[in-house]
Amino acid sequence: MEYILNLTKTLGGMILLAEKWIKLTFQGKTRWGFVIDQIFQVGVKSLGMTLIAGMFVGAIMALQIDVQLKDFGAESFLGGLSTSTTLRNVGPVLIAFLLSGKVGAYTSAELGTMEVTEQLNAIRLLGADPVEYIILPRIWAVIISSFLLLIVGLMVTILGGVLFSQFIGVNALSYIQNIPRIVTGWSIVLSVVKSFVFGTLIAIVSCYKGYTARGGAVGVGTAVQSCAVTNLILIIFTDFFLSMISSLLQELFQVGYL
Amino acid sequence: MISVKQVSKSFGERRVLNQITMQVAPGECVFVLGKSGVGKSVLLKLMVGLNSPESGEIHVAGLKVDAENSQTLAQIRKKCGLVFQFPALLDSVSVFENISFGIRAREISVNPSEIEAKVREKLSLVGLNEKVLGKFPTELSFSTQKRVSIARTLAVEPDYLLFDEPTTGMDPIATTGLNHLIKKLSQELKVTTVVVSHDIKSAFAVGDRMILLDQGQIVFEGSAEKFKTSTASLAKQFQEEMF
Repeated sequence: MEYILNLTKTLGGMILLAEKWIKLTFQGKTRWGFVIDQIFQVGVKSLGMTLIAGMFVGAIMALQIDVQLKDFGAESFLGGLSTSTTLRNVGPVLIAFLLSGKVGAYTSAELGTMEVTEQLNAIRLLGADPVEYIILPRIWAVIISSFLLLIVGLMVTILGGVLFSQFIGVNALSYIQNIPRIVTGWSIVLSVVKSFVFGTLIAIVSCYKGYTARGGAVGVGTAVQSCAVTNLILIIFTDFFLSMISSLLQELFQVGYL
Repeated sequence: MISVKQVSKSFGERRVLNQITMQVAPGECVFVLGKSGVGKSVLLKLMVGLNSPESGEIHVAGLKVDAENSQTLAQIRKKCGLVFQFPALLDSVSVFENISFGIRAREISVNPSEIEAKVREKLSLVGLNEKVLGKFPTELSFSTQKRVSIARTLAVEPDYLLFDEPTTGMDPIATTGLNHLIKKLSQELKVTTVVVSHDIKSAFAVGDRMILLDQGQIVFEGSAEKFKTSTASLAKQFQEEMF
């Protein structure tokens, strides 16, 4: 019972934070200069990790799908199937997991430390709103960084698949030529939508968990741990629902492959 | 004036403040003394609406402190400056940005040269030179950070100055310097000052009046001279510490 109450409280808190973020944004309260600083702090510093991870995700997908296709003598479909699976599902989810670990943990730890060292209370007493001054630019920075990193990561996964196909005896050109046969515009739209939604989730969850941290170093540790778990669970749930909605829409409008 | 009437506050099963009633007159410097964990910091946070009491009322400058009433709370906070136990400076910005933060947020001044002049004035008031302005808080010693924190609070020109354990973590020389500074600020700026601490030496150095908290209640209230002859059990323990 207590678990359900806590879960409801957390979800409610995150919804209220998201509402305030949207409201403040429309009121023109975002300090974009600070957003750019934060994008450098959380985004640019995660680029290397995203490139390496993306490359290997693409390679792993190519390897795994090739094993299956060989049984049916259908290796010529490798480029399309591997890229489609990566773009529509595995890529966004895996890269979002990595970013929730790096960007999410950094943000929740930073905000949590600010809360337990009374920096946020100091801001309140000096006449400013910590959500407007501290949280709002961080939410935007995390959304923009995560979204851009996910898009870059996905492009690198395709490259990883192409490069690795050479090692498993599939011609790179035929790999690339097969991509448009299976990957549709719908796959790309779905991938972009997932990237944006996952980026937004990471931003809201990380900021909320850091902002509500209480009780010294232990509280910050608990907030970061809870942030990681909540992000992972919400990414999985959201991925499932977005994939389901996508399938329904595809059936409805008869667009492309599943 | 700060008026605390029948205020109680608990955390879980533990009642830290039990029916506390006290007043702080305009321009007065009151020192609230007590052991660690007795609820002194909670009392300060209740005064500025960072916590809410379970029962009772607090009025600051005639306005009722109510965490739910954001407009009144903003008015009260405009009149108050709280120096936290730890400096609570914003790590990611310079000392200048920290001190000018409240001036900008409260729109005390929007002119950059005026803001800079105010920052320099407050910095000099706390005995720091301008070399620290471009530094980040993590580059400063703890006692310097504390002084910057006081300068940041003074920059918003409060009528009520609240100090939470100001000498915690400071060496004896820095403690004496800080006590002199608090006394000087209280006398020169004519602000109403409340200091909470367990440091009996600071209490004698700073307070016009002393209030002793024990087990959630006020067990002594009066002048430093009267404190020396108090028969309250905790007052005796503090007297032994002092003399």
